[in-house]
Amino acid sequence: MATWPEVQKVDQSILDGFNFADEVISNIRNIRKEKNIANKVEIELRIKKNQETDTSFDSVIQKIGNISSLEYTSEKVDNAFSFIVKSNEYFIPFSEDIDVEAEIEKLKAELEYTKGSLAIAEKKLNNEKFVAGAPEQVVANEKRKQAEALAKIKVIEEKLGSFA
Amino acid sequence: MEIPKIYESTKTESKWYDYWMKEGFFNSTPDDREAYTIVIPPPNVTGVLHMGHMLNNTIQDVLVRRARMMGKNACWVPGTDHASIATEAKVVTKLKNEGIDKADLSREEFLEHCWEWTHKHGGIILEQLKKLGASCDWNRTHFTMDEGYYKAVIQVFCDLHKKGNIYRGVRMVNWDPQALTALSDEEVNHKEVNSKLYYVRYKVQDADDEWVTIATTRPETIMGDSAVCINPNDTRYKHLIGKSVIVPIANRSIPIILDEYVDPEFGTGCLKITPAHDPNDYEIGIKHNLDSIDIFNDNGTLNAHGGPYEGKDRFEVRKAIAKDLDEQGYMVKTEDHINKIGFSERTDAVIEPKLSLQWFCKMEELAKPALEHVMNDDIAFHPPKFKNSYKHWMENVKDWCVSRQLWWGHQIPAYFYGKGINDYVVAETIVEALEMAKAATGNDKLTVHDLRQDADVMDTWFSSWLWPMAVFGGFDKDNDSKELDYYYPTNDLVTAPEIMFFWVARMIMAGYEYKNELPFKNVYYTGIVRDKLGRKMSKSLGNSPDPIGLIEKYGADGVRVGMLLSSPAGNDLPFDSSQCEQGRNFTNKIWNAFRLVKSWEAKDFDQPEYAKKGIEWFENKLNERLAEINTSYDQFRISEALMSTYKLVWDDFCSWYLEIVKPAYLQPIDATTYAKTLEIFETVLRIIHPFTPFIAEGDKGRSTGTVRKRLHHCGNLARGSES
Repeated sequence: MATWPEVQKVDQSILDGFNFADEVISNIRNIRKEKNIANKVEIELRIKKNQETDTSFDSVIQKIGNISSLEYTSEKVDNAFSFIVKSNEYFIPFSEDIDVEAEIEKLKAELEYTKGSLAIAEKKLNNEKFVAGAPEQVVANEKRKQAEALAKIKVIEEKLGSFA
Repeated sequence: MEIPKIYESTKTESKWYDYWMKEGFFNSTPDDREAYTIVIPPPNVTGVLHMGHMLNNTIQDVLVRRARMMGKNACWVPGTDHASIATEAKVVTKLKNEGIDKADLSREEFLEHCWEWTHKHGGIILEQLKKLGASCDWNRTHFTMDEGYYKAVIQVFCDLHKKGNIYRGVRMVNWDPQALTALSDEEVNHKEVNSKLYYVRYKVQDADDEWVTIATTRPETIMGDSAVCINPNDTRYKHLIGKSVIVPIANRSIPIILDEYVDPEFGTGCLKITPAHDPNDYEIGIKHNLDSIDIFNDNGTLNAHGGPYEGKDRFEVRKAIAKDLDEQGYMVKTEDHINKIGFSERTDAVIEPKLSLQWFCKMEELAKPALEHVMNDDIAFHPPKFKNSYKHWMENVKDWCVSRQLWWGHQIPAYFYGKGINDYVVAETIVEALEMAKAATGNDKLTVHDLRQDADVMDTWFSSWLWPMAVFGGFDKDNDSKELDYYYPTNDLVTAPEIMFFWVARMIMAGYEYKNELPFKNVYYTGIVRDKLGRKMSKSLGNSPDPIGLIEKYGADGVRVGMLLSSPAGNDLPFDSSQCEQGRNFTNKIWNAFRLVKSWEAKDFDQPEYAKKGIEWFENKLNERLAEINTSYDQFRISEALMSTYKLVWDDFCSWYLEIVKPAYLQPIDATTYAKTLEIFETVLRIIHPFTPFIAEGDKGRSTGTVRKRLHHCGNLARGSES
């Protein structure tokens, strides 16, 4: 006979454990996105456990995060991206697959280009004749370009900073 | 065989519906299970599906399908309403287009045309409901003019007449001059309109150049004036007491009367009284024993009392008389004015208050239990805010004008044996009527040919208020009451708040009158489906999408989800077809999950830890969601139940669970996880079944793959069949 499923008792500790894993996975995904590390590229994960947290879903973190090895450590890990969940510290060490140098090069090139755009816009805006003579719309357009370039430069510089 | 990349809803849905019908999955007969019953709000027999029906019936189907799965004996009774005034209007128009005037036809001939129309167009809407997936017990389809139903209505009329609750009397009624029938108060829509206030002066009789000025929005009714009324406390007019004035143009003398009803602040403080054409004037007329001069024909033209305006339409006369009053020096001034005017719900004609001999149903006693059992939540309204307007109406309920000057409907079972207005008897059959007439007259020689049945029919709602009982043979004296006892009271009624008074309130009244019991335990009020701009959907605005077109484009499942995504009970639903697109994406998501699982190859090897943990988590998560979903259902928060179901499928199952257990590309999956995944998929399909019954069936009949077999199996489960 067709049945509507009966509700079974829920083990809240399992759901809590998973939610914790979810948070870790979200952070890993963010780092992959920010640092342009494709999902198919395996990474390592080192965890400095500063408090007692649920480890029961580590296998899921490993699977979803595409993590080649997940290990606990008592020391901070250098040359790694890091994030914090609760008071645990997580490290994704740089590796051959994570081409830090190439990424830095790419960001630097982008920075140069953006700075160039900024310079062009500012040159125009510093030209009194231009500002006085050009249609309002054109001036507004240059101001917009200037603002956009400034914002972008800030983001790129932050990213570069995170590699240091 | 290749599984199609895109879910083919049209093909799949008709296949499944045919299968369900063939197997009789929607049929219900009384047994030892708990009954779960819904009666459909019967749509007009010749109507076609609109978005309101879509919303309303989707909700009903969701409730019925879930109840069926919960092991209840679910019975959803479909049917249609003969819709007296609406259908008759359509037939009259159709005949007119063919050059036939209703007035030239006999009652029998006209009714033949109505039946022909009914058979031709009737039931289209029910076929459309099948496209939506409605799981009604179609063997139980009822029509309010079916023979048994007809008898039930007549029986109730006679019974209420016998109890003194139905009477005949002259009352001021709402007259629709276009449909040529009386209407109940509820069939009148009051709208604010821009009109003019005309200040007209009446000469005081036997005085030299003394005048009284009145203000009116309807100068044409001057022809029916019987008095001018002033407030006795109004010191401005003390000198007029006891005098008379001359009605302009009509040149009749009418008295000046005193009544505190007059508001000295309004207009000039002098009020013309036209008892035949205004409900308040009518009351004053009775109180002061005034003549009642009816100046209108039934079609809104003026009769002989209209003098020079005889034969002309009321609105034409309004202009003409204003001009004449002006030219003859009676018009003092005109002002722009906003007032509320009643319009016929059906024809949109301006209602004419008219004195008329009609049948009425007393409401006071019937309304008492109906009010009490809603206020104490024996019958629960969802959302409860509607109790307020219900209470207000029930506490101020007026007697119900139940006669209509139409032919299509249940003919009033009153038989006249003489010329006097009281020379009649009320009986279920003419044979019975004859006996009663003989007794009343003492004339044994009377035959049925001496009897003349009242030509009028009853208000449509006088039949549909019996719906929850009548569909189970509740008034059939020759039948046992097994069906009625089993299915009645029904469980849930899903309807639009607009018909709370027309229908819901009256079904409650009838329920207590005839079964001394409530007709349903819960009333779920749907909102009004509006367009993106918040306008009500209507034919004339052309802003109502064709529901069948939507189903063809997005699939019935997609449209069902689209309708329910944003429609909490009692709140208006701003509809945009993008919601159906979202619904279709949902069904595609399930389809893709199915394709993914189907692509896996199971092999015997140890279950990985992540899969074990993933399963453990999902089983707990599913139960957490299920508890949430159950609570939402129990509280009639259907949109919320859908949102939780949606998240279970999209987030928990597809985005998390399948990603966790998914084997690496082209790698096999371990047999334990695979079997568990199928089991879980099956449970998920069962939970989505009420919302998206078609996709929940899986993909029967394509091949014999293990997954599919399993999914067919769960399809069978979800369908509500023995398996």
